[in-house]
Amino acid sequence: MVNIRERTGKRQEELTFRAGTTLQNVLDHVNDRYGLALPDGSTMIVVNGKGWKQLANGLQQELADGDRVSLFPPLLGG
Amino acid sequence: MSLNGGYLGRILRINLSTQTSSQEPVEELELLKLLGGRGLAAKYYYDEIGANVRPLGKENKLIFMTGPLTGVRLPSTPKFQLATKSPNTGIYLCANSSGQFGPYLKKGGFDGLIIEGCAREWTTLKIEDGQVSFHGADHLLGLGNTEAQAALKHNAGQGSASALTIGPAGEKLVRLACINVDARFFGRGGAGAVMGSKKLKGIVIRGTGTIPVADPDAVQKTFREGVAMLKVSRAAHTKYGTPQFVEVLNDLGCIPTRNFQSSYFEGTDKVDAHAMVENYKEKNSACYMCTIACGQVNRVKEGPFAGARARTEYETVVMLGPNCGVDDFGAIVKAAELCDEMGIDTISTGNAVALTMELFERDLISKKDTDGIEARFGNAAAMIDLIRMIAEKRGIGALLAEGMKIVAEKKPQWRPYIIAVKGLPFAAYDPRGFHGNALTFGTASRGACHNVGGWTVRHELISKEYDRFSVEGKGKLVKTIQDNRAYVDSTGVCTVARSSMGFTDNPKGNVLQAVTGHDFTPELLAIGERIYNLERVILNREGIRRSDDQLPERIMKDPVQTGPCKGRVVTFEMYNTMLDEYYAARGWDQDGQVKQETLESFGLPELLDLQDV
Repeated sequence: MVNIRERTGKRQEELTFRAGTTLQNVLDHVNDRYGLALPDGSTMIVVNGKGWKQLANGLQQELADGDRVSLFPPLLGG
Repeated sequence: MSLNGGYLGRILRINLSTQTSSQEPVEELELLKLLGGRGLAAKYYYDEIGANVRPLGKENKLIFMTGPLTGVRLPSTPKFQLATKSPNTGIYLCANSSGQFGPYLKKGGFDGLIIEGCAREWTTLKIEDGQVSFHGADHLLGLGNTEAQAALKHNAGQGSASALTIGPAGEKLVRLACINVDARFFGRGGAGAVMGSKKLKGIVIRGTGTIPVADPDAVQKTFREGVAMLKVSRAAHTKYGTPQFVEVLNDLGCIPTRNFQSSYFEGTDKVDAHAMVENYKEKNSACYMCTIACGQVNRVKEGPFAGARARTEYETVVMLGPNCGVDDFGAIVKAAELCDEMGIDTISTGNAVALTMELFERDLISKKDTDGIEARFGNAAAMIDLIRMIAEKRGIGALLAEGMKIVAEKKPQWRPYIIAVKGLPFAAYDPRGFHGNALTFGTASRGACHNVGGWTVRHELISKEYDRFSVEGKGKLVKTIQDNRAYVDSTGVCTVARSSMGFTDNPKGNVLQAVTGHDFTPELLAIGERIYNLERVILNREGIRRSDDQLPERIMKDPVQTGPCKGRVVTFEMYNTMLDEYYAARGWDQDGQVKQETLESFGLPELLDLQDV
């Protein structure tokens, strides 16, 4: 979103992967396709409304059909 | 003083009743214990504004305090703080603003300014390097903030000047009125009505001196490094400003929609930062010493609101957009312009309009009550008309202009639809999407504020320790963020730039030592905690207890209607589990009162005369 959207030219994209694909696999795909370097320390990576560090297996979390991966700018309050 | 930079060591006191001014020293102990800004303002409030002082009575005061970094040549140092008794909530109010007033106050030789008494006739003040003069203001009455600001600055003569002004709403004592500071605002809590009650239309200030710093070379180095870091890390803020979070928070199911009936707005793509930049953005605006320039000035080019122009923040967009069911960014700009010119808080106003719309849709009020307005969600023209009615105290607007505390007292049947704590309306986050935020709104020193109360969204999303829908650990989390914010609010630095100088959850760096000569950094978290406890001592004195820290019914009983958080509530039991943990972490008793041992552990007895607590 915001700057990620600017760099990819897309608001959202539907991707198809084979079973057992991890979050890291998806990020690798996105990095290759759009020249990004996720996780980059500032972009917030959120899966179904949870930060990637909150997932049981972190970046190695296997994704299921219909999962939603969101890429947010760093959130700053106030 | 042994502090040899950053502070000027004196404050300016102006009495409007007697048309006199005086200067007095600041106690060094108070600076060492409270840093400045919000902490120092709270101390003066404690000493001078008792529990029985009426917000709109002549005994109330406007206490403006800068921090040691305000105005210093460092990244984003415009901030100064205000403490006064709130006409909106009837209790302590702290607020912060940008603009150039704080820096000029210091360059004129003062750490703070206290306005007291009440003028007989409408007045403006001119402060030039400490020289105070009083002037009639009849020719400015009724002017919007832009014109009033321009007139005051024009009359100040040669050189740069800054001004505080109120709009027509402040003149009419609307309890949502804000104070304009060079087009920034002391927004929440109705401080503009306090200024209006004193018949003070504006203050113009010039300061031509320099602010001493202990180690100029170290300050210059911090400035260069900070600017370089911010150029990269805050690039999205420059381009999109805080509205960039509209899309994000909607995606997370946290965006107030139709008076908090839902937390997901289907029309967000029409009002998010992309829509803004592509169709409305005119230019950036920057605060004092800020290279980020996150202010987004927008102009409406066509349609029914063509010609409207306003700076829009995330809170403004959400409260006047999704929370009123409005998906027209042009209407949001028009509404923001109207609020800014009339001088009313966009958050509280959006909340009041949304309440009216829900009451109307539920047939609890009718066109008879709204002067014929079809006050339905999504009706942008109705929103604009209702804002005018509030600012001018007409029809139902006269009641809404009293603020939600009084509205709830006069209309108890509306309470299920009033979204406020301590009478201050919620800011633009739905706690059913981030449960820690419930505690933020419940325990913020001034009522339901996301800043003072501790903005938890980031921690609840990125930290392994805090699932956003759990209650465990949230008491300690909120306390920590509140303490952080309290010390940052006392430095004079903007929160968007704070990390460039090491002002994080784990403070580091030497900028405070470079400026003041004293190494505050290891003490900052304790200073923040001391300030928060001082504020709670004030609130306890004003009668605030556990029952006042409770959430509105909607958040506890009504499940979110749509979106990612559909079905979520923060029940009474969930909330009070968090509140128990919070009070324990704070060292307050189960009724929310500061314990004696807590007072002593922060050295408050030596700072305060506690006999009247």
